[in-house]
Amino acid sequence: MTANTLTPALHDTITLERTYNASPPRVFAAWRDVEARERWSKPSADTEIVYDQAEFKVGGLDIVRCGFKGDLRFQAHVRYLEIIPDARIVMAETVAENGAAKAVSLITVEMKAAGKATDLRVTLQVSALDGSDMLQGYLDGWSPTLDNLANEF
Amino acid sequence: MTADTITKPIFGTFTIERKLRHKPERVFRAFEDPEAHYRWFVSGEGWEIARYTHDFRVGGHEHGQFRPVGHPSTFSNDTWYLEIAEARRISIAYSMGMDGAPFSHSLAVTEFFPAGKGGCRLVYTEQGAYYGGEDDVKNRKAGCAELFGKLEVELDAHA
Repeated sequence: MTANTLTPALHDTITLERTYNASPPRVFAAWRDVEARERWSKPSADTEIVYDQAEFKVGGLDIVRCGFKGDLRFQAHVRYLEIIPDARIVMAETVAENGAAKAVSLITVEMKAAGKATDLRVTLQVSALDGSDMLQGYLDGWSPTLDNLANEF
Repeated sequence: MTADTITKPIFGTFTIERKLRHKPERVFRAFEDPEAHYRWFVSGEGWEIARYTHDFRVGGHEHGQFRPVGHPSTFSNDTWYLEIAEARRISIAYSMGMDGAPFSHSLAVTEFFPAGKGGCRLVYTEQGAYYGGEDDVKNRKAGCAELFGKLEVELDAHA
């Protein structure tokens, strides 16, 4: 690229809250286990998520391909920054489409016992890099997946 | 540690802008070049630097350990480079810790826009989760502003 044609980044925070009929250890396990995540972290039945690498530990990296079935055009790199079992997971994510960066985000997942249930709060701090509607994309992607997570319990 | 003893994070966002008398390419180099980066970002009066690694590439990890002179605690900075667009943008995630315990996690996007004749408008946006209380965001912004002051000194002092 000859000219500096940088598109200004757009920044926003999205907070999603759910309550699940399961203890914090069971909710935590659904985030820890890759097989469980492959089930619940698809926003709809016509989408697919494939883990090429999964390293659920501080400093570890997940490498994920996702999109509509047969067209896994999105790549996500997820770096784990902090893990407190049954309580908190913090990660940094980069999302690219066919190799071009679309967004970076800091994701904080908090779990808290509420009687026999678990209150979950997910805070998505997103910087959309390419001028697209990634902020809406994060909301559209995460909201149904957190609904799906209830099916695990 | 149980859930009841875990500090709840405060989430915050802040932006710092600087008009610089240097081209985006030149400003970018002060982040990319290990010696320049060490001068303005790592070293500082009153700080003992125990360890610092430079790893400027996508996926790269930098680890620093430092303490204020005479202070009993060791602070740490772990930085992961998430995305780099040459001379235009640097996106990182970084965690700050004290004696091994994290006290903040941040997403930081630094953008370099050409401005005026041969200048650059630097825009730094940090979104973070802070565990140290209500003043964290204000204090972090002040700390970052100080660093960008040091960047200006670096740019003027070294061609």
